[in-house]
Amino acid sequence: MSITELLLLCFSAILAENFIFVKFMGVCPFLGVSGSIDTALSMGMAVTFVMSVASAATWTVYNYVLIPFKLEYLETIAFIIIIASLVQLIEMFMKKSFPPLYKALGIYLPLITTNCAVLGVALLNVQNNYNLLESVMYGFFAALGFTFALFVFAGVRQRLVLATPPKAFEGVPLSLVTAGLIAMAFSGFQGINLGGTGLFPFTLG
Amino acid sequence: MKRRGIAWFAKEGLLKNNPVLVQLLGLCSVLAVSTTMTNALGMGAAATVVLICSNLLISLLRRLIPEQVRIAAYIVVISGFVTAVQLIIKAYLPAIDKSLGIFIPLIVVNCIVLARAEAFASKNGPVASILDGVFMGLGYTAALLCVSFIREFFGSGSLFGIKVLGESYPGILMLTMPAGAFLCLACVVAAVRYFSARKGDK
Amino acid sequence: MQENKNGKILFSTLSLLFVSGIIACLVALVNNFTAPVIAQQNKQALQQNIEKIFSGSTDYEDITASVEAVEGVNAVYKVKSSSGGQDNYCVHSSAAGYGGAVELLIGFNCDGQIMGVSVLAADGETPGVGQKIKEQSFLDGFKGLEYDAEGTKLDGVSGATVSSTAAVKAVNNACLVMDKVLSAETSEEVAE
Repeated sequence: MSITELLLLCFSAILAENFIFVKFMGVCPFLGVSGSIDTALSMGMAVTFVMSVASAATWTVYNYVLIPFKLEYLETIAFIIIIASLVQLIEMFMKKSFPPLYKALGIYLPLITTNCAVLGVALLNVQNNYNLLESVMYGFFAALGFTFALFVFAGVRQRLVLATPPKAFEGVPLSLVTAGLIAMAFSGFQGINLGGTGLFPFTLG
Repeated sequence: MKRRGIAWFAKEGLLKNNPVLVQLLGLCSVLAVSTTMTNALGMGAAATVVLICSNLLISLLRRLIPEQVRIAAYIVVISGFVTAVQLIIKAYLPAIDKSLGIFIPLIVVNCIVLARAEAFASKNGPVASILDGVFMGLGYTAALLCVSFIREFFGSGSLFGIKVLGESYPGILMLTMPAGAFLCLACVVAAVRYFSARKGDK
Repeated sequence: MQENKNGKILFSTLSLLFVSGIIACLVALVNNFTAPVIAQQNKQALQQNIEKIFSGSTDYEDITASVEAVEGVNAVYKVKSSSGGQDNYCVHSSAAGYGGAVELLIGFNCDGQIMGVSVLAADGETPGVGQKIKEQSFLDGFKGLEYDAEGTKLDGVSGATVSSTAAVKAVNNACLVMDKVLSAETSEEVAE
């Protein structure tokens, strides 16, 4: 993997193919925890950590267990079990070894299991035939994109506290409108894809 | 447990506790697959089947699964049914499989299925759980169809992929793009809130 | 107390194993049932597309393994001519489009000229804009073109969109792989 490819992967995963605004993965936690910039960053960090580790773990299992035994059709089951147990392990490890970190991120960890971004990244790595390094990098950058989106959104939302929308739009609908406007800005980044090396052949709707 | 009729489940799933429009669960998939009504119908049917099956099995096994490992067991059951549904779609409806792509396996982490398993199937009998699955699934499908109708009809002037507004209709491109999905869903949720609030006032 | 706790863990493990067992049986059963259908489905789709390009000939052979890999090229097929003439080729190639991969099947004759192009997948493309690459008038634009050393001969498509650019790229990659296949065959013939 050359530096150019790496940079391209980075920009593409963070901006042009942002998980939340372009691919709609991880919208639930996105609407739930983006109330303040602090919680957004903590959640983002937890997701980044889990997604990078999960990418490596699922890649290894897929290529060294599922393929040799011709069990590719079990990928979804295998991946979700790996992710769930990984999250549990990380939680236990953090609690024992890094209590301050656990205090900061602990409550977000169980939420990550059902964050579709994590399972999504594992499935996309397989779909795109990434090697181990590419998978981990993709997981890491996609999660950074997720964090970035959470951060931007939390910033906007903090200012919206003072706004007085029509009653029906209060809360989630207003958040969705905000997300829509940010998504519009993000769709401008898709032009970057044109110069790409075809590194991201997605099959998403 | 008091006995409830089908009407109760229907009202609960489709209107009062609609998983998408009221409980705001599973928004990822609603945003992503609502580009066309065909996609919406396929996704809704797949999720409904998974919901019914997982609700049934979890309800049958509810006394057998110990408290501490219940979430793990639910995830295994749900992912098993999702895989089964995915394989069947791949085999008999390859076009749907292609256009829904990764969002079929992602039903596993669709909060609706896990939420119904935890909140309903683990506490109720099999018949009630099936009914709950059917109507929650229908509620999800209805919400999906509603959003996708707006997006497809105004976005590209077609319904189920068939042009209905004539070739000359230019289409509101924005609606077919991600930004349109967010805005459209926001309006639908707001409309539901507006009308339910008005009904409550009376 | 300790024993009680161990018993609890044992019970949890066993019940989890039991649930996993049921699910494993179910999935294996469904897979057993659907695997041949899926394989059949894929074969049929490929066959139909090959028929569309080379009207009539359906006998093909997968030669992907013997061809040097080119990025974006998924498979290469050798299509036996029904009239006993020289063999034709089909390349399954993909490139990143607007909302997903644009997958094309490109047919070549034995001289490396494009005989026809058909779209295998372009579902993520914007309806009414990117989806236009599925129209025959667009696809016919590729007919008769052949491999160019720079691989840039195919850029003259008017009204370029992300999707059409992806299609052109997929065709370019297919041309690249065809050039390799044909030059390998020629050198083989010379060696004989």
